[in-house]
Amino acid sequence: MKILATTLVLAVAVLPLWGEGLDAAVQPKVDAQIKLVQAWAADPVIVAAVKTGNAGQTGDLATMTQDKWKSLSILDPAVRGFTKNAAAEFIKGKKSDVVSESFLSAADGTKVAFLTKPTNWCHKGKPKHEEPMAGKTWQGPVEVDDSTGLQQVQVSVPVIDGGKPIGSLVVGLSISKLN
Amino acid sequence: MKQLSISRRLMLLLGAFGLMTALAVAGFTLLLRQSTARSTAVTAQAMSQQGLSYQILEAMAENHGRVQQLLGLKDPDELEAAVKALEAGQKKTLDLLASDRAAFAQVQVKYETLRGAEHSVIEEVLRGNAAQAREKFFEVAAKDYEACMTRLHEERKAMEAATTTVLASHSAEARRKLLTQSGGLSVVMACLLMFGWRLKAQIVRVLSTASATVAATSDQISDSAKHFAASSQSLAEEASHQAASLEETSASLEEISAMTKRNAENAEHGKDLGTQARQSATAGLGNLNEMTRTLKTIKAAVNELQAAVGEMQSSSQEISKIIKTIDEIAFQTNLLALNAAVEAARAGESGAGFAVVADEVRALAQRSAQAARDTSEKIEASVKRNELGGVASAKVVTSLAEVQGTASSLEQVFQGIAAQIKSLDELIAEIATASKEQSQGISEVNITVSQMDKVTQSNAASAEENASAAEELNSQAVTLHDIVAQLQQVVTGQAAATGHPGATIAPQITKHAPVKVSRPPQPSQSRKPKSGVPAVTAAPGFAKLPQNLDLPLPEPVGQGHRGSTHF
Repeated sequence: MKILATTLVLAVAVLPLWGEGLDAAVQPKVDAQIKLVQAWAADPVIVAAVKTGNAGQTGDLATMTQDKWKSLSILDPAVRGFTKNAAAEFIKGKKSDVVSESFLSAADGTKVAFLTKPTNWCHKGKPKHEEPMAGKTWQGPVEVDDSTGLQQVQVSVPVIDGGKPIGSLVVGLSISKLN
Repeated sequence: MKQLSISRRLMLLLGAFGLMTALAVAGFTLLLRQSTARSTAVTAQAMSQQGLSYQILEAMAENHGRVQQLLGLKDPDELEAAVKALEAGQKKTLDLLASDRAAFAQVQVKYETLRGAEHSVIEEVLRGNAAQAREKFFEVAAKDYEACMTRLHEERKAMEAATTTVLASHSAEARRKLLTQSGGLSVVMACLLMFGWRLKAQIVRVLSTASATVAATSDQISDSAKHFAASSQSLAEEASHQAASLEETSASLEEISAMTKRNAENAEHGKDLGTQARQSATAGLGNLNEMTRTLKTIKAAVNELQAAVGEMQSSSQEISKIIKTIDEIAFQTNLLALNAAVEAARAGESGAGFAVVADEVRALAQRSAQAARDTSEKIEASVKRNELGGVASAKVVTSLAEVQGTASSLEQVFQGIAAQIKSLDELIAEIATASKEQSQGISEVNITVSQMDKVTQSNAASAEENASAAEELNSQAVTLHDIVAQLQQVVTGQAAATGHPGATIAPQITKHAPVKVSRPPQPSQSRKPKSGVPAVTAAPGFAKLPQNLDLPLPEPVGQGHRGSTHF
């Protein structure tokens, strides 16, 4: 019952923001951040990691499902592996007050590296992945982060190799810090 | 049976009191120590448990804070570190609870529940279920934490109550022991007080007798001080008079000394003058001899002059004869010329020439006669003068003889004067020597007078010191009397009223100003009480007596027991 109430409270808080566009004054700053993210996505470390991810997951990860992924703890070694590889270290190097979250996906939408464990194991079919895989930049609506309670906007850019998108890099930007 | 003296009895009483006091102090101290040790142990245990409870509370609060902090973390590294810190904090909490299982058993049960809830929250956080984690934290873990804190608080209250109960029982036991000890001590103290009461009665009796004796003695001291003061005053006055006489004597001696010195100087001067006079007499004697020799020479010369005068007289007579002859010739010539003139007149003119010649011759004859008469007169005058010269020479010779005689007498006189001057010189020398000796003697007398003056000064100072000492003695006698009165009051409890025995002495003692003598003061090796009142040092026994006793003085008590108060 209380869980339901909490959910309702959160829904009431989030619904007014759902689909709400960015303030016109903030958009140029988001655009500037997108350019930075594109530069990150073009980094050889990122490209190499996506190429490795595109080669196929290994071990338990090859059979990873969404439910299984959701049950895994953040401190699970399998999950921690995605936060300690070369691409994750690169992303950590770019972390700032503005960049609240970031994850790198292979062409099939499965994860290659991330700062924090994302909710979904695979983003295939999601606009934040499909748009970059189409060679486009994607910008999501303003939403509230569950853990921090702060407004953020997600942007994604393609990871390009040989002129073709091979994966996507999603970055969550904190609006309050952008301001 | 040998009786103990009062001092020994007092010492015995004091010793008994001291011993009892020491025993009481030791007993009370032991009791206090035991009570304190037990209370300290109980308090220490309570404090330890309290400290432990606060540590547990702190650890639980830290853990709860860490869990709450975990809710806001997303970074896996930060989450991993936070989870590790939380696990360490939980382990520490468990260790703290395990350190006193008996006291915190209920708290430990509650904490296990809390730990499970915190674990559940962490699992939700690690799975990324932030909303569920937050819900579990606030709905479950927070309540378990509250229950844990409440239980811990109750446990602490229970511990405080138990400690208070134990301390109260210890306090009651200590009070019982204290009362027991105090009762025993009171009995012993009562015995000692009875002994002290008897001793006090004896001491009062003895002190009454002693105070009466001391009062009488103080009266005697006061009388003696009075006589002493009078004698000292008289002595000071006599010394003052003596000093004044010495001052006059000294002044006279100084005058005599000055006169003697002047005499000696005059004698020296007279000696010099005598020497000069002797030298002058000797010189005069020499001159007299020289004059005598000169007189002899003059006498010889006068004799020769007399002879010359005689020869001149005879020559004058011969010249006078010659002049008479010339005068006769001139007379004859005149006569002849006169005859010739008569004859020439007779001759007339032929004889005119002749007449002129006859006149001339006659004139010449007259002139010769005149010259002869003049010469004769001159010669006669010269003869007369020669005669006078001879008379004078004779007189001179006579006078020379007289002068020679006088010179001879004068020589004798000069010799006598020289001899007398020599004697006078010797006498003056003796006078000078005597004056020097006299001056030395006067100087010695002066020194002696100076020493006598010092002694007199010293005597005067001593007299003044004695007077001050007498005054001090009198003051101390008064003080002694006051002490006796105080002692009597202490002994009898009644204030005795009387006048101070020596109160009238002080005005009789007159402080004499130091005797001043005109000469500069000689440095003294002894006391120097010249200025002001001489310092008087009180006797050691009186030095520490109270000076201001506002107690009524007792009536002097008659002669009592003298000597030792040994009973």
